[in-house]
Amino acid sequence: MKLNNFILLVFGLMLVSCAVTPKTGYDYSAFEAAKPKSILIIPPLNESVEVNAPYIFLSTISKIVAEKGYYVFPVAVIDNYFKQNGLPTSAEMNAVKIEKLIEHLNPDAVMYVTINQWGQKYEVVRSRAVVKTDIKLVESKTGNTIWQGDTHATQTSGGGDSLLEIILNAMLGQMINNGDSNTRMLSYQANNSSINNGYSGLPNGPYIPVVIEATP
Amino acid sequence: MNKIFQVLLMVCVIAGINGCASKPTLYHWGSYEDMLYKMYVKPSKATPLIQIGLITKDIHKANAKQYKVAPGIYAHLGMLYAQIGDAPAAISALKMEKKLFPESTVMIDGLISRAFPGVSLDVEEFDENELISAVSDGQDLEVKNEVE
Repeated sequence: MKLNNFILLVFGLMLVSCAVTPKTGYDYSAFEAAKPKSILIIPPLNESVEVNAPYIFLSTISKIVAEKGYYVFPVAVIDNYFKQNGLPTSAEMNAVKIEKLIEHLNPDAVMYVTINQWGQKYEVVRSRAVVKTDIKLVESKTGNTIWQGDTHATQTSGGGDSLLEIILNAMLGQMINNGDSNTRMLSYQANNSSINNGYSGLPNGPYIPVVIEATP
Repeated sequence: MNKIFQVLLMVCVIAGINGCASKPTLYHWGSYEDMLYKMYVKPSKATPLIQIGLITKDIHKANAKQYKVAPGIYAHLGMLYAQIGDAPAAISALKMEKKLFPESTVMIDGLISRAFPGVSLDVEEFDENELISAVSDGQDLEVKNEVE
């Protein structure tokens, strides 16, 4: 690929990622029926070996969801609340019945997160940092799943499968230091691309001002 | 050639990031998420006092620019004041969350009535001046912390 073409391609990708894309292919009917205003994020279930993963995740989710137009319950207050009520682990927090959550916190929707992979993996010629989570949004009243996001981001150091990957990795490697702050950046990136995805992302909530189009 | 390439790419990436980020945000977030990260991963760098200092500074900034304070921030501040034993400031901050975001009513009423039994839950019945002076104290706290 010629250099110019390559740069054009990168520019093109940037533009596409910012453009407003029509929502097709994802079934939003359950979501539209529920129309939640507030979202309670439960501290994630951790299936990775990284102990800090749930908390790093929690520091990368509130802003993205709230800026989508929802009231987001304060994640640290909620974590603290569960702990003070005899639920020290996220496994226990995830097992709380939704009726109890309605009674004590009254969220319209509950976001359940499972962390599948988190952190550095060392391979033969390179190391790879991976963040992979499943996000499920459940309407509290009905228990129906109203939105799902398969959320992941990868950063490879030392090598890559394509020219693009090698160069972006070299640059990311300079911007991102290491360890936890590395996975934090990836987690933010992953959440952003899943929740703000033009095709399958979370629809706008009530705090996003609605543009009223002039009637002809 | 490589240098030009790198610079161009850097420009593309920054343009891309800024292009998306320049969309005005609904709220002022300040250091909230950085603080959450530190609170869990490097707790000594985000003690309740340090956090109170950071949040109150953010609230001042938001008010000065007439931005809305993001959801959850006043509730978090309320939790911190409760942790350092400042009940009046804790109650005011919690009520402020409820006033700004009525979606938090059940949570806030529960938090207040468990931690401070007998306290009125009425959002109109709290002294915003109390909170303002608490917020200013918070800024002092941070200064003291830096000196120590």
